[in-house]
Amino acid sequence: MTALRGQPGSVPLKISIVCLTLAIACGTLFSLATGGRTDVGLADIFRPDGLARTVLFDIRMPRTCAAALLGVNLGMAGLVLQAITRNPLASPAILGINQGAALGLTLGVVLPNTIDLPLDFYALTGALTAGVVTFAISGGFGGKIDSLRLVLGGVAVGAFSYAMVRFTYTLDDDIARSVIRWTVGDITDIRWSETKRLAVWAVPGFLASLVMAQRFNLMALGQASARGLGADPRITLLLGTVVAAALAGASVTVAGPIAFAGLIVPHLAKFLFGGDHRVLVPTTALLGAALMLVADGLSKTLTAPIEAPIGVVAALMGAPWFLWHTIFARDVS
Amino acid sequence: MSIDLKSIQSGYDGFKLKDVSLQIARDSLTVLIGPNGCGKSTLLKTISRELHPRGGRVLIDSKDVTQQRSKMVARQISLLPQHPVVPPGITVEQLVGYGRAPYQNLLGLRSREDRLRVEAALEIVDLSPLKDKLVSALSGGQRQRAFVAMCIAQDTPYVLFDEPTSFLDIRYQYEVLDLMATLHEQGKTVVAVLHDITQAARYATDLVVMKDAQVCAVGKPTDIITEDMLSAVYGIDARVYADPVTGTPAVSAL
Amino acid sequence: MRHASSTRLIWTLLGLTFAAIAVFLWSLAAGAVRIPITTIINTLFDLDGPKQGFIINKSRLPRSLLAFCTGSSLALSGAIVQALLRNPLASPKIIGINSGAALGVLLTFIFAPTLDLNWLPVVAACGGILAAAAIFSVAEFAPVSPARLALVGIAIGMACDAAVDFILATSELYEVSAPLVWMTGSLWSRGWAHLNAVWPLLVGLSAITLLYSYRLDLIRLGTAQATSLGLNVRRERLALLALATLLAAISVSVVGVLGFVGLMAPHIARQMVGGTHRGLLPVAMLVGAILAMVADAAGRALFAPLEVSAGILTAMFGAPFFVFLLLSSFPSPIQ
Repeated sequence: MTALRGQPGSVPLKISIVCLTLAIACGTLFSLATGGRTDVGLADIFRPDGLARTVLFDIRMPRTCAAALLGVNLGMAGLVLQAITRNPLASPAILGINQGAALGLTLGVVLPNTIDLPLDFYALTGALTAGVVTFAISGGFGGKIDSLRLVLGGVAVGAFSYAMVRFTYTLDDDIARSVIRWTVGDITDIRWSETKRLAVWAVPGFLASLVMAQRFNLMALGQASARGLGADPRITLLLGTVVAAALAGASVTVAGPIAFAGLIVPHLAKFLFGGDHRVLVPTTALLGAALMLVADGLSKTLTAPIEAPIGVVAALMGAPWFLWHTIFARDVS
Repeated sequence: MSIDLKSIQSGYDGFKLKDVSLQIARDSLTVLIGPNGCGKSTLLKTISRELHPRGGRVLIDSKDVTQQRSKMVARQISLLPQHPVVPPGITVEQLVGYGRAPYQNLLGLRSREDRLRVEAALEIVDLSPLKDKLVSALSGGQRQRAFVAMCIAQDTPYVLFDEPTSFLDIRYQYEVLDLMATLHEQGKTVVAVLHDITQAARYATDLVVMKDAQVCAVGKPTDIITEDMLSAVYGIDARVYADPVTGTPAVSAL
Repeated sequence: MRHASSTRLIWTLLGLTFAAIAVFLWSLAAGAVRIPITTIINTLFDLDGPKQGFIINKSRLPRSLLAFCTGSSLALSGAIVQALLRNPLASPKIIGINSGAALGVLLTFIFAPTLDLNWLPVVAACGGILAAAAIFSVAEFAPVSPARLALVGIAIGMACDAAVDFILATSELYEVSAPLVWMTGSLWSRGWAHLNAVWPLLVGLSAITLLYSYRLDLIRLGTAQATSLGLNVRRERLALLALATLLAAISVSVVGVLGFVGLMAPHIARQMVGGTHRGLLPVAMLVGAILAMVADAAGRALFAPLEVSAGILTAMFGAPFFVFLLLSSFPSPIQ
């Protein structure tokens, strides 16, 4: 729970909120100003005329909003997972939740639809199942959670799910084409309908996390202590898993699996704002949004004219950081 | 003939020991004691070569350790580490057999002498009936005896024990300590790190007290263990009295 | 009693050899075109009677042999890594070697698609070595628990995967479709060229590894004990890591990532013959070879005429197996 360096929360809260808001504003502008049509740029945002208006409102805005919402969803999912497992390396990707969601989705596409459910539910079920299995492996529902078993269990669940996904698209080329773009997160063709789906999950997810924030604080003291203080860890685990799975599942449905957002964002937030989850929940959400907006802008500009999918950019931003942290951080068991 | 440490500078990160010199006499049973973090384990690990000293020299029988081949040094010192690693799927006999490594080529082929030594070692620690059992299936006390047997099979004049009583209940603690004493009686020089002062006083012929990475006192237990020493080194008020069973100094904190 | 365990070892090796031959023959028989045993024998030994020269000689023979070689090499690599990390849950994949090798090979496909096949193992080896070097540096300069070391390996693996994804995503589809299939771990369209590029290396490295059996035993006792027994731990760890890396990386270079073989084979072997590496290594090699051949053959046979990559099957069965191992390693702590 401790921050890596410096005093947790040493930056005065008000200044941090201002900085965050600025970051989001910049990120939004960056994201909106860049894109396939290079003739629609920064200036057009403030005085949009006909073409620019269409491009901005129908193409870029949904995507920008989606990026922000993805940041919120994934940041929250990561925060929740790290809180309930008390493991700073937990994230939807490492615990196999992303891959489970992908598997759920694939099954939803492949299996004959006896029940006509939206794909979101398949993804959610897949994510939830993967999360539950990983927790079970780590011993979470019985006694203590073993850190190593958690991470390795996640690797196994992720690998299995991923193999099953590839298996199904070996069998069917059509599926292959639609699933293959899910290898990494991609929001190139997002429209308002999909963005709305993200929002539908983000709002309750955020509220739920806010409500559970104090429980997360107590979890940090250890499962025994939490129980002693009246916050049954098993309920926290269960609810937390549901929330994280829902948020991650929704993100995967819309954009595919994005690996590092759920990992870095909570860490950065803790570094800046300390360990109190009542503060962390909103700040992680904002920070996630800011980062993903920047990532979206980068994805359009880094390798122009080819777009690098947002998941890849996030990974490139996150991987070196993850590496550094694993080697040097003191709070990894 | 002795182990000589001259101006040792050693430790994990940063240097714990800055300039420590010590001589461990042959045929003694020397015990290192001191509060947590005083450097006693670091010192032992420097002798056993687990840590390389950044300054100073370690001499065994007047020969510098770093000037000799690792295998040669292994025929002079053996070690029972603080947290011995139990490999899966290995029997007691196989484990004790590893103690013969310094005498074998890298293919690990056993000679007749190796086999005899292993059997003798198993006898001494009274594990012969269990020699085909998996080490991982033994109790804590039995496991410790197996590792002691490995040291015995290594057949070295100097044997090091790093906190051999950790996590053992009282019966097995004294079992291991008695084994230590047996080795000493058989002519080996024993160097041990213990945390229990009373146990140290009972078994040691020579005591080395450390604090803050320095050697503060060296001598016989009866001379060294005084209420002043305990207060200065450990920061406790205690009464020292003669152990009713052995007559050696025993400590009772107030 | 040592006498008895030698007997057990010999019987196990014999049994596994027979099993390997049986699986090998099945591998030659299985696929879109089912070939009866008699035809196989005729073709292999050039006897009179119906033959299937093309399918067997051009396709299935080199492929099955390649599965044998890479399966056994991956198993050896896994055994070494498990001893080095003192963690029975470790595998070359876990410590990032596979991802590093994959990255190396992918970069080659992209930037030098016409490069002679014989260079692939070299490139893969370089990628794998870089990844392993990173882990090794951590082990050397920041003494960490085996658990932390495993996490570093995972981190490095993920970093390489990120780079791989980046390349895949920003390249044209035609450039990457072949590497994409290849990377899933597959023996599809592997032929004599692939086999010849690697088998001498793998055989040589395997032989060297077998000579390290006793040293692996000692390393498994932990640094303190191994040092006190006279082993130059630092040097031997370096050599062993190099061996593990090369064995895994070279295998990855020709068949892609065959997950979990390096994990499962040493475990199965340990259950059969115990923990001394003199017996463990050869048995693990045979088990690994069998696993790889079974995965390849099953991939061809079960869904004929479709072919499912061997890597998918090893993951599908390997992952639950891995989980089973995780669960049964509780409560004994990981040493």
